[in-house]
Amino acid sequence: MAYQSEDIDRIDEFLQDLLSDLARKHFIFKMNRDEHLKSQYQFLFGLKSALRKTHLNEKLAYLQSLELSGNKKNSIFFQRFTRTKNRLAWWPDSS
Amino acid sequence: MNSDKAKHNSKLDWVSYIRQAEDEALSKIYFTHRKACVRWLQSKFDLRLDEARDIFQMSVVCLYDNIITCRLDALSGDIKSYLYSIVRNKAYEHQRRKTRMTHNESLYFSSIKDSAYEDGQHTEIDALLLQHLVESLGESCRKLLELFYYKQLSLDLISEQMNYLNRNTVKTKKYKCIKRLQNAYLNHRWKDGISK
Repeated sequence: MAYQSEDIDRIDEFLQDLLSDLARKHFIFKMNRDEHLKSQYQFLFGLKSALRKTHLNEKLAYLQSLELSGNKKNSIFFQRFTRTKNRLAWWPDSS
Repeated sequence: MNSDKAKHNSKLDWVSYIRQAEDEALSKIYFTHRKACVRWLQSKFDLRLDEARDIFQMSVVCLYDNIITCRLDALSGDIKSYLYSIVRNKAYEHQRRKTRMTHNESLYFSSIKDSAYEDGQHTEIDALLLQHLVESLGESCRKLLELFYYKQLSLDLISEQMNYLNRNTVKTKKYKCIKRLQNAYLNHRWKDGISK
């Protein structure tokens, strides 16, 4: 399965809701019949999801480091930092 | 003095502030609201201190995520009301989970989907694998893909932020990063298929 830049761009437009209704329906129709496009879609969707989760975990670690910097003497925060950091891997879609 | 500060904070355009200076803005939000919000969570929802802190931290990150991914373009009220509405939802979510799970299984993740497009378990496994593979690409690729796919910045802006010559350089670099990543991903999936 070769990398196709046009597919990726189209999928990205789909994921960002940039396509018109008609183009969107056409994309879904095509994807349901095209295994190659479907696997490209899964790849890009997985990538976006992975980037988001990694970035949000970094932001959480940043907030926890703020907590630590304000409580350096209190060792319980160090324990909590490690525990929570290891625990978090997934983020919900919205709040 | 405090009321001047509060007035200044309520007039601030937090959406732009977070987009332009995210860590500075987040730390301001964090330290302005943490104490009162954690105390409020403990009394209203009967939470332990560490649970209340976890919920508060998650809520600040969710607020950030909503702004960066453009789910929130402008605040109709002040930042405090918006933050507290997230905190409240997270606290209810936490309580619902707590009644269903033991504490060890706890908190926020289990069968959480990423969006309406998600194809269930399969995509979740893909995301985990890709999280690992993106890390192995190196910092510049990871950063570029993050700016393009998560923050949805234009090629011109990425070129400015990452000190590339122009948008075409960014486009070529992005192509190479994606290609490397996709090869690694397919290789992994193929090996996975063989081992099964």
